[in-house]
Amino acid sequence: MNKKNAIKITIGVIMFVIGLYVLLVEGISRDNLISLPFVLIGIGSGVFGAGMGEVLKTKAIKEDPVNSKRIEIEQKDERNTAIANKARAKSYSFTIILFAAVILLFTLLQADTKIVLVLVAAYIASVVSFPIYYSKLNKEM
Amino acid sequence: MKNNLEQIRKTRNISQIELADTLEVSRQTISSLENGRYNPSILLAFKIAKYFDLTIEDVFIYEEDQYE
Repeated sequence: MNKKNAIKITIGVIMFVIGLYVLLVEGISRDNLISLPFVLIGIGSGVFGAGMGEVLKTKAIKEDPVNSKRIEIEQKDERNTAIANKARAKSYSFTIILFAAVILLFTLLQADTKIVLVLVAAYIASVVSFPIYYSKLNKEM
Repeated sequence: MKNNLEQIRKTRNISQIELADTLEVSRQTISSLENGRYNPSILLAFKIAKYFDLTIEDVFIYEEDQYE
């Protein structure tokens, strides 16, 4: 198990345990923290799962050198990489439109201004990230 | 971009899997190249040409009007 995965698993377990402790022992009486234990349990489980998945993948690869070579080739294959990059680019374009639609919907539903502003900030950050990466890659390539 | 990859490969009696393993790419990449659905990077084009001991022009056919 490498250090990165060990950290992921440990953080995941700690978050899960804290979430469970807050939920079962402390209770969820404080209004502002009503969703905190569930968020901790959810994120903890996710981080633990990601770390454990990597550990199991590494173990499976070590035990099967023939397939491990094939998996490595599949991962490094230039066509697979090109497909993944294109899919990511299309997904970004779709997300931007979807994001704008969600903001519009929240505004029309007269949702809390704070929520709408957070969404708008996230949307702007997403849109602004494109020219930033474009400029960075333009200098590198 | 058209290519003679399938023809050259079959002449040499090499399977798609063998070629893919030697070039360290997936079999689907070889299949897509042969069908003309995927254009290789310049690096892979050189690797393919070098593997068959040919020039890139022997394997890949540049068409003037392909960007029009």
